[in-house]
Amino acid sequence: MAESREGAPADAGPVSAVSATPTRLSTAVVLLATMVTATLVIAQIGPTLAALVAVFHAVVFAGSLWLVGRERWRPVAMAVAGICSLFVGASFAVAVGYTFLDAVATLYPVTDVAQIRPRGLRVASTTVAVLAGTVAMVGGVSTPATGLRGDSAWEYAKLAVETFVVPLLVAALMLLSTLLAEFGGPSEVPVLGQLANATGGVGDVLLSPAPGRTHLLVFTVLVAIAPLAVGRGIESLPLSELATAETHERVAERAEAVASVARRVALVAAALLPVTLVEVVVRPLPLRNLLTPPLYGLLAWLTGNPLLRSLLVGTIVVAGGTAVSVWVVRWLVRTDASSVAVSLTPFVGGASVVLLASVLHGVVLQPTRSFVTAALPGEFATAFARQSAAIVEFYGSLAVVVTVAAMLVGMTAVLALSLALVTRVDLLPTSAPAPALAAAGTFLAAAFGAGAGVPAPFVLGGIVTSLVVWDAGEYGATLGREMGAATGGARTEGVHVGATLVVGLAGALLATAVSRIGTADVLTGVPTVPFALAAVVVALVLLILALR
Amino acid sequence: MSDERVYRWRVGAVATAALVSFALLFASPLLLASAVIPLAYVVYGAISTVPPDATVRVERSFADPTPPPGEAVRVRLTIENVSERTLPDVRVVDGVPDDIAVTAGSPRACLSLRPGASTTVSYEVVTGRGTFTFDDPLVRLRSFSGGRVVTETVPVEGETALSSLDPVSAPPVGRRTTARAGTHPTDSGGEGLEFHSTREYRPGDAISRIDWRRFGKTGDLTTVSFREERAVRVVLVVDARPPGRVRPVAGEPTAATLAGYAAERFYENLRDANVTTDVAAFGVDGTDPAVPTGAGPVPWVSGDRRNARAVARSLFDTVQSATDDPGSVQSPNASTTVDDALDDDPLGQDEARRQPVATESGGDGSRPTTDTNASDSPAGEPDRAERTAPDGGDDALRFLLSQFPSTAHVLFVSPLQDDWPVQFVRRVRRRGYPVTVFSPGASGRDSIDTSGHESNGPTVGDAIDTSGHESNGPTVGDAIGASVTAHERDVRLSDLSTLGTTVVDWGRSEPLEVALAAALASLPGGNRG
Repeated sequence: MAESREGAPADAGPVSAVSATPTRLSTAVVLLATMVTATLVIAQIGPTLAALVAVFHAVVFAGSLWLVGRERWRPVAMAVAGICSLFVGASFAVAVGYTFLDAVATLYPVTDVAQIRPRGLRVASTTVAVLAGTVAMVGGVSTPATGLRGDSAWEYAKLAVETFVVPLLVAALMLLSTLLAEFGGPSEVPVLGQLANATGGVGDVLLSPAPGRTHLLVFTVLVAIAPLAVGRGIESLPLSELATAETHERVAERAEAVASVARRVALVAAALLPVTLVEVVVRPLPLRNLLTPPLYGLLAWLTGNPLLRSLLVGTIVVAGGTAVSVWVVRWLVRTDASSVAVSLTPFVGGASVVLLASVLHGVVLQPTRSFVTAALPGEFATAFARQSAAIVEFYGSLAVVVTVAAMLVGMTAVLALSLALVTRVDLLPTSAPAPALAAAGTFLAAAFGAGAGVPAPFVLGGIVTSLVVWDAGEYGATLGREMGAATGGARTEGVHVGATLVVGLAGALLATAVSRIGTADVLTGVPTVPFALAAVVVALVLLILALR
Repeated sequence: MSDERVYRWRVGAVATAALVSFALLFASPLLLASAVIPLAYVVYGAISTVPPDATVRVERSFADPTPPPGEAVRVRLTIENVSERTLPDVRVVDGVPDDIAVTAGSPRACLSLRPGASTTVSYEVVTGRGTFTFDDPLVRLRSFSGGRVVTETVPVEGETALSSLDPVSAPPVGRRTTARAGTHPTDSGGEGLEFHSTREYRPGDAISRIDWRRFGKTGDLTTVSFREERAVRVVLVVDARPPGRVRPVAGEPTAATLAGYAAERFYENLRDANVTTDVAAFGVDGTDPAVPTGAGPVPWVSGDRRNARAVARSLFDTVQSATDDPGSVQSPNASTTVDDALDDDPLGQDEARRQPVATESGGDGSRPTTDTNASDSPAGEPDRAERTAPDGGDDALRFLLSQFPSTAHVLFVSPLQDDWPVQFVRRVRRRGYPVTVFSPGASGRDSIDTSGHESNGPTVGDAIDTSGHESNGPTVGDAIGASVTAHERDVRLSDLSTLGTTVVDWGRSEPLEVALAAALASLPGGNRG
């Protein structure tokens, strides 16, 4: 009984689940067709540099996706992928951004107001065509790399976002400190200096209080916290594990005794806290008279003694540090070292990006400014040069370069998140996501290329290529799944892809003929609009018949 | 049979709609016209179909329908297009049984066939013992566009089953009978036919052996010794213990299975030559009433007993059942460490001591019996299985060796996957028995099976893994483990050679007949030509 349904047929028994790898021929067709078509379309509408950089972007992006899917040497692979996120964003910005600037420089300024909109549409078409071509190349290169899957896209998005955090924070800190230094008043203390001043003040309060008066509140707080820290520190230590069988009970008893005493002391100190608030309410002189001078003097000496304060603070630091250290060690022992390394690699990547920017900021900034200035037309270039110089002078080249690096990594995060979202909502088929991405990108590049002035052969060729790429990729994926990647089905594949290509070429020829008939006065007396409407009706009928 | 339509070209409809939209956006006649292209694909997907009379004929043949277990057999599958239309996409998957391994080639094929054209696909499989029935192949036809899929099982012509060569009906090994009954001269002097040496006369020597010629010349009395004639007698010992129940890839017979098969082939050949052959087997549960035992718990079949051949065959059947069980590798006796190989505990006495051995009065107090064990063991059956350790313990081995005839030649068949066989041979050699060791390898193939078979048991790489986890198939780690295991086996082979034994190593890539013939030729009376 015939059944009609979407997607691949039900796999029966041993035909299914041999391998998830597509066949070599389909991979080659997808890769070559996509790269050639996308490169040609981009080269037709934008500068050659954009095409080359787009290829580089595709390789780095696809390579990063492959790296995050690796199990062997995973921490290293993740770190490298994190560093590559800078280059992914940079190359995307150059490919698309430079094309945009070039288009703007070419098409603007206009001599007629009526030209603004169509030229704006053309600039947008050009930019979208290059963007789509770049995306197509990512799909094409990802096909042999087999790195594009739903889980790998999310992994890479997560990595990119986490990598973005470090340069973002560093850039924000640099910019903020510069701003505060400029507008912070005569002291001109940067943020870090103010933090240091604040830290110093706290230190004085804790360790060197002002002599001659009582400091009951702070002293009592320290007395309450110190035994608590001691108790927690003792409880965290692995005393029972380190003790021998003979001393185990004795050690446990003594530890419990010390902890018990510490808890009692803390309890008493906590109970006295409300009483110490009296020095907040009553001024020192009346309090001195209230408590009698000898007693007040004793309390002032006791609560303000630097040695005693240091002992209490030191106890808190040591005991608290011990508890924290033991907790960290226990956590590390329970946790797989590899997992810890993998979770830290994005931040390593982010730090590497900052380091790279710091090392190269003097080298890359000026050439970049010159490049962008040269790409902009007329007054835009002058304005950009002036503004950028002012920004660099104000913030410094290091802060500017780190900020730009952060923005580029952020762009990568956006791209990765977009890709992850597309795969998550199943806009790309799970059987062949990379070829589908390549096909969609090529199709959009060709379609928008038409609006950007790409010649007709490239438009039609791009549309045919996109459908051939999709068909070859999906067919190869199914063949690999049913037969295995190396079962010698190249001839069958060649027959199928050849038939698909023939249909596409026939369609392209027909489209050319229809286009010429529709735009030329070949049929005298036949109005164009009715002809077009008739063609649309015929096409709809054919479509409905085909889909039934 | 299933006939399905797959809407692969619905994407064409989406592309058509998109192009029409873009055409309106850009006011581009070119884009409007280009909507014909995806539309053409939609029509193409709709009209492309599988011919209703599309039929293929499939024929299968085996290079050898009754191969010895462990030997590769080439399977040929011929697919012919018997319809009158070209079939652009024919996918065939042969029905290989789950319990045999494909070791070369692939049982899957993707073809394009013109009318009347045929293609032959071949691959190799390795079987164990028994009969393996192939299922009919599955055939899937697709149209040019891939939008129509027809799947059906096609009845196959030709051969459908592979049966391993039965040792009972197998032809004799070698060109001539390699061992013959009767007597053969030995290296010791005494009564006989062939001159051996002379010595001084001692009172009591037979007068017929006095060298009278020399007495006449010199006046000295001397006695002539001849090479003693002894009856040919073979003791066939099979090592079917769990350490040998490993295989190089899933689906292939275990090394212990091959050892059992080779031993059975030896036995049949020797019996056919009227050579009295005793059989002993390690790794078989001696407490099973169906398993014959001798003086000790180790299964034993004396060549002199009535119905020896039938009893021996039943023992070999038991060996086959035990060695085909992959789960038995997890036996606590399956230690691959050297603990079992210590000279003072060559046969796992520690294992015997761990087992609650109860003695029965009236014996020597150190001989475990099945009845006593059953009655004294609160755990019942599991303890009995544990106590019947593969080697039975030192006492059991002593009992076994005491049953060996003094003139026997020991033919020991073992996979040599641990050190115990070397200790056993050393012990046998100390008693003066000549020994021939025949060893089927556990890893004779160079490549790792990547066909995705699930493991039916431990592989050679797992032999050194005592963690007890299940294998999900050979990995790089398994390949390293197999190399280590093979090297250790080579060391054992070398050790056996230094003990003065004849060693025949059977790698799985060489024909079994050749290896069997070499081993039989080393027996007394065996022809080497």
